[in-house]
Amino acid sequence: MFWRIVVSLGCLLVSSMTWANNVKLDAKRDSLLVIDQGQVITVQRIQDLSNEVTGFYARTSRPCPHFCIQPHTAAPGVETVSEIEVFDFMEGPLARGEGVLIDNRLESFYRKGTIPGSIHIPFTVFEKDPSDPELVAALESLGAIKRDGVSGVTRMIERIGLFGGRYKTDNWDFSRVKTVLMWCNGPWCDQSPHAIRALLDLGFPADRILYYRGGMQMWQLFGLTTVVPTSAEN
Amino acid sequence: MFFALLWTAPLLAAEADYLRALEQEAVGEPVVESPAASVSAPSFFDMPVDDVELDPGLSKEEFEARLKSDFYGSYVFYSRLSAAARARVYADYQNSPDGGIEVVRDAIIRHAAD
Repeated sequence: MFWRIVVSLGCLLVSSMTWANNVKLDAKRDSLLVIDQGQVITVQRIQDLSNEVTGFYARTSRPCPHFCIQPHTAAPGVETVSEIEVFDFMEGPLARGEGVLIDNRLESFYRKGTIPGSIHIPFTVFEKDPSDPELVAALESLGAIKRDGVSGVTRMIERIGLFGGRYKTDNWDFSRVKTVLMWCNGPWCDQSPHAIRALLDLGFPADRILYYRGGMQMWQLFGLTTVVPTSAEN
Repeated sequence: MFFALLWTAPLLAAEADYLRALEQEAVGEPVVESPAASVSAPSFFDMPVDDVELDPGLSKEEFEARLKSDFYGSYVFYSRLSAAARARVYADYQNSPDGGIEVVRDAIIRHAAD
């Protein structure tokens, strides 16, 4: 019963009316709530002041190429955000159903833990052939509308900026897409930049894309809540 | 055709190499569920309410105020309903002899799908 309303209402999130944490999220928030896979999750920081990062996300060095330090900006026009903006996004666009938080990592990373409220669309999906059903479904889930049979005249007019042409391509109408906030493993991870570049190549508007460069690395460093996807537990 | 293959083959090889490196990297990653996650809030609908109950016979304003102060999770979902659906939830609450939050929760879920 509960799941039905959660699904029907979408991804709802509200500010937490909470207890006092010694380690707050930021100056204004102890914690926040986000709906993840139908469950309300409190996003907060680990309260143990002696806690340290260990294991995978404590590693300093990985081979580059493949795991090179990423530039601050993933692509021109795409805003890079920090944890605070991620919190704001969770409480704002994500809660209102106007935004989507996307874990762009491969399944093998995702199933070991993700940022609450994220959906999983690996970067490889965005790099598929434009007609691939998986890519089409992914774009449609973000609010893009597939276009068929657009006349040459219409496109000509759109290309000069009329008829909302700025957000349209031959194959897609991106004028009503949600804002996507994309992330992967951290500043050494190229998976979300890959996805961002692929989205831009498809015509997705840069001003509707946010890049959380810190990713899981920084999320872990701050002791922020993560969740293991339900499908991974089965 | 030949030149196209010459052009794309290295790109495909690099892509495959990258994916292989990623998969190898993922093998070393443990499950990262943080201690913080283990204290995540229960579902709004499962939050313990102790001895707090929603008394019957409240006016609509009182009903909404109580919902907001004592059953915030339910209030959040309630506030997302259309005005008509909210009115139906309140009517269901009024028509229930004992009132009670369970009646309201069921009504919210039922009327969310209207």
